[in-house]
Amino acid sequence: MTNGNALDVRDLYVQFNTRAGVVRAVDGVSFSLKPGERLGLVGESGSGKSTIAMALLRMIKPPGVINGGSILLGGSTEITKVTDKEMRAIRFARIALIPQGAMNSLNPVRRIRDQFLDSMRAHGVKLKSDEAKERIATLLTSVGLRPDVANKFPHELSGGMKQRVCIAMAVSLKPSVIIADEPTSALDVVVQRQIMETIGNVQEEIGAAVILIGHDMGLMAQFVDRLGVMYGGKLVEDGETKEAFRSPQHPYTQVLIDSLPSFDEEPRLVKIPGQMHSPLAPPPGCVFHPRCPKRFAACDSIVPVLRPVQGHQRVACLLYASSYPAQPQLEPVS
Amino acid sequence: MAMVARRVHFKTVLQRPYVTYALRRILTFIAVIWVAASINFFLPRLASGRDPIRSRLGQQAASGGSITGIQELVDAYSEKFGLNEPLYKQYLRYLWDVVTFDLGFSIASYPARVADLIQVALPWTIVLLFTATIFSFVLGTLVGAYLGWQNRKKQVDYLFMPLLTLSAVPYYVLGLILVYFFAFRTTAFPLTGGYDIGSRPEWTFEFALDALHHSVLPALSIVLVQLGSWALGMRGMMVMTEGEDYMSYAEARGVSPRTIFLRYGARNAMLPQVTALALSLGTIASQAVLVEVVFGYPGIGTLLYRSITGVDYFLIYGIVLLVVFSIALVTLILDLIYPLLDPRIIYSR
Amino acid sequence: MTIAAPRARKPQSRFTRSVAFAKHNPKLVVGVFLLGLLIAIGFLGPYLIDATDAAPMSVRPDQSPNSEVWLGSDSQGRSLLALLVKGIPLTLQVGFLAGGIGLAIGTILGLISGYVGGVTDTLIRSAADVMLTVPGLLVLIVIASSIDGFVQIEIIALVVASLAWMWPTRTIRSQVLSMRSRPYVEMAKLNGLNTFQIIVRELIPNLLPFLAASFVGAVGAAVLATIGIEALGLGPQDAPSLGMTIYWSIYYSSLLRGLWWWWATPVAAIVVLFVSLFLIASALDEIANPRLRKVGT
Repeated sequence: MTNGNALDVRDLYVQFNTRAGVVRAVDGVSFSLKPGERLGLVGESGSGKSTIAMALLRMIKPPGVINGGSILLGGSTEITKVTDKEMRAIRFARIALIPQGAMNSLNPVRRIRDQFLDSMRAHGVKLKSDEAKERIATLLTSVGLRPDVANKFPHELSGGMKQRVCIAMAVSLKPSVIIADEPTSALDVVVQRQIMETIGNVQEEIGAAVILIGHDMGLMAQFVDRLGVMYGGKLVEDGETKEAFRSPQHPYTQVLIDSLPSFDEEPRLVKIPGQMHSPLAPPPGCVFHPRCPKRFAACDSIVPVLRPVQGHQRVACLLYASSYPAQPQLEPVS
Repeated sequence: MAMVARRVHFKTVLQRPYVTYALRRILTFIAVIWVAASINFFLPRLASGRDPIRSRLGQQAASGGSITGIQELVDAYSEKFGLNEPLYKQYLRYLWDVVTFDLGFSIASYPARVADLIQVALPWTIVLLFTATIFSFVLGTLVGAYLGWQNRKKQVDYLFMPLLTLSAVPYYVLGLILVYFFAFRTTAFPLTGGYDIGSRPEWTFEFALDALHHSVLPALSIVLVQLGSWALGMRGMMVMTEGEDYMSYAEARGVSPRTIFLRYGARNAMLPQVTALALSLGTIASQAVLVEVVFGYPGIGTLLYRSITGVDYFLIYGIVLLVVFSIALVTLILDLIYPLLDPRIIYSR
Repeated sequence: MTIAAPRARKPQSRFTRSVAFAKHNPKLVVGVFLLGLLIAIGFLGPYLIDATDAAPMSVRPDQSPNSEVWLGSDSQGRSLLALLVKGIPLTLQVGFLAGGIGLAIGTILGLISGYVGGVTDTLIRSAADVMLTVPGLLVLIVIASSIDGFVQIEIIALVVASLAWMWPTRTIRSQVLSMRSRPYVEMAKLNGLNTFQIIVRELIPNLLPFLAASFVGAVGAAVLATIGIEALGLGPQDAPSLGMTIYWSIYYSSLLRGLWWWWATPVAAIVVLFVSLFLIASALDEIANPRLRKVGT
């Protein structure tokens, strides 16, 4: 029973059982991704956004574990249940990653061309050497690099070039979902823009959906169709980018957007009061309430659920929960 | 290993940066030899006054060493070293002698020349030490790499403690233990020597077999200890490599675990391992000397020992210079090979 | 509809924490225990047995272990047990002394080299690399034979120390290099601390695990070199140290004559010593670098 979605994530829970305690890095997150759609996941460090990326690729390592939920790829493949071998085949061929630190993500002792071949061969692509050469050259030109880059070693390339190589690799097997995990955080602003443009171009070429993970709201505004806001392991708002920016529903989103500089107003520093809680001791009730400028009495005892509010926007906030039945809090899963 | 050879980047050799690097390393090599030779020259002169040779020879005579031919020896040396000439001329003569491998005469075994004595003993040491070290390095690195692999069979972990213990003891100590158990208690192997007493070295098959038989225990004491330390070192490098970004990215790309282990993990972990080899040569050489002494193996080590007990001053210096030379040479070779393994290295200097 | 508050951790007693630490670092415990055993033999021994038996002609020579001479005696009439009691402290002293000096020199050079950088760094690093290729034992041999008479223990210690500084320099230098650009160092600079203060207050506390590991390594190397020199007969001939005992046992062909206790005693002590040092160094390495504990995640 397929529903045409590229990706369906339902009630995903990822926790880390550390010596200091249990950390619920992803705490019941659900969202869907349509083919070709661009979803942005934005949030502070520790909000769980990168963990989701690792979970989607099933690369959560001990002491972390996926302990609940489903990840349905292409409407038919349940990622949480496939075997290791099947998962290896899925990785990169159907769901690909553009890593965060391209500086160190490429093997320093292998040429670029060989690293392309590594991923291709791993997925059973058998090409004669000149066919392979051509294929790699095409991929490199599609991201704006000269074909002779294929013969170079990673240390001979600049940061932006390395990132482009990773983008080219990510589309080399034509996946249906691309996860870009903060692809531009190590680069300067000019290069950032080029990289984002490149990602957009190649994504459209192969018709893949993109999950862009980051914490730069400005970048999100220019790139994604839909915006998901994460805080404390939960998805607190999810809606179309334009609507989210025009009328943000969740107080956290409101402050985030407020913090963006605009030409109209006087420059001012907007702060979100307080600090993010320790991941070992999440606050009771709504996970944002200690810092929320709009909190009220019920916020420290009832956990808000992500519900649609207007149009296609979903929010997890008690301000909109006039019709909420009381929700039981979930006990920590051990 | 063929797979390793294929991955060595030979084209690097032809490029300019490599040639500059190679020249620099060769110059350093020459500098090291020169410094070592100079120390050899000046140290005895500083230690025992202006005429070290006569004082040494006098000592020999006084302690009942070979008295015959002492005057000839003194004369030969005076002529050779031009002892009546100013110091700098002596120094230059000395350097020239070193370059032509003329290391003088042995005092204890006059009129044997130092170079001749070394020539007889050298092949034994090269065969023993060279083969033992290469064998342990290669095998140890392979074992260590495997120990560092996620997907290894868990039973292999039982090797860990024994390897650790072995790597901690000095070679000759293990040698003593081996001799006791395998040469004394049981007579599977000979107690000492490189060949049976009474037979003469010659190029026959029986002699070769006999020599091999005699070299098993000394080789074992070197191999077992080195194996342990190389394996542990490589395992440590593998663990350090595990945390690198390119490892997790390779996994995210669905690359097979075997390829990740060989081409991403071991291949990178190998680099500091080779560096470690280059740096341990001095220690290996020193320890090997003691192994030869314990086994009475007729190599450079035993020669050195005899020269110490006989206070054969020139022989000692000759041997030490030779060892320094060999180590510097091997280090040079390793340094020249290293950029072929790690393409980054030339640029970082 | 309230949640269970996160369980607060009970403050643990020092004993519990020590036990947990011990269980987490078995290598350290075993290593320290073995080392402690040797130290105990060396320093408590003289009170329990007659240590003067280590001098020649104290007991009947060539006895195998019996109720009188527990570990047997050598051909010169020395009691092996007494030799052990007197020899271990000698060896340990030289090792710790030389190791300590070597570490001190190495740390200072490593700190300077790593932090100051530039030409100084190149000089120090090149010197260390060149010195590393020199086989230390052979240098000792050369020096020993150049000096008339035999070499004093202190000279050996000094020379060994001068050969033991290279590895600590390398290790400390690479650590300092990676620490130099860390934020807390930048903060210290912004706070106006000068170079010396930064080194002492910021760098050294973070270097302690590496210093400890390097110290143990340096001690091991020093002991190795000292025993090696003595085993070749270049040490003080009448010193009852472990190395000289081995020398004499070889000289008197103890192996061929079946006097196994003569060489086995110092060998056993040496093996225990090195294994303990190695275990401690390995454990310290793991503390400095927790990733080394487990293999493959």
